[in-house]
Amino acid sequence: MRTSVVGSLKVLAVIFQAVIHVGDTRYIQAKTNAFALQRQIADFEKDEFPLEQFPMFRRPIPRLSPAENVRMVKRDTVPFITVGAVKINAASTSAVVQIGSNVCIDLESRIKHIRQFTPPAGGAAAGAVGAGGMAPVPLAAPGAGR
Amino acid sequence: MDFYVENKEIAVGAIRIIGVSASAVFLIGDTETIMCSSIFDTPPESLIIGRRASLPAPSGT
Repeated sequence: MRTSVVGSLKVLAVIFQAVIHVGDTRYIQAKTNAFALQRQIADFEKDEFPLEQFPMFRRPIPRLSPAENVRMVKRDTVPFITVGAVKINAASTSAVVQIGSNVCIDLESRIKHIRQFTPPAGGAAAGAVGAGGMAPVPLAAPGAGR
Repeated sequence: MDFYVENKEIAVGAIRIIGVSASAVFLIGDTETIMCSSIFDTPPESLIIGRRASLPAPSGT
């Protein structure tokens, strides 16, 4: 394994299960389940949408076997990786930024993203827009919600 | 299968990254195995013009 030589590292934000690692390690594993619901009016209730109700958070992801039948021979003629300056705005959602070497990185992220807007006053507009405008959305009873 | 690698000199001046996101890796160093998987779902109903209580029941995904 080579030695990583970095002049400077500047990272502004590390959020949602991201990893910044300076130095060597053996194994990094990170897993994120995210339900990103953006509402025009930020009004949320606790446990409003249990993730288990969405199949995408349950379905197994096919995995390659790391132990393929490959015999790797490596020769480090120059035992350094040199980088002057690194600047990263953000690392997020099971991302890994590492200066140094590792043996295995295993990452998984599942994100469901929905934006919900309040209909205009007197709103006739109700329904799903977007990809084909499929699946009409049932309106709540008048007076319910807002 | 035999796989022979010779690491010669690598020297980089500067790296500027906006974002490393959703099971992505930025690595200055050596590694043997990297496994990254990501599911990102914006379903057809991902943009909803509707009342607050009208988020549709999950289907399919």
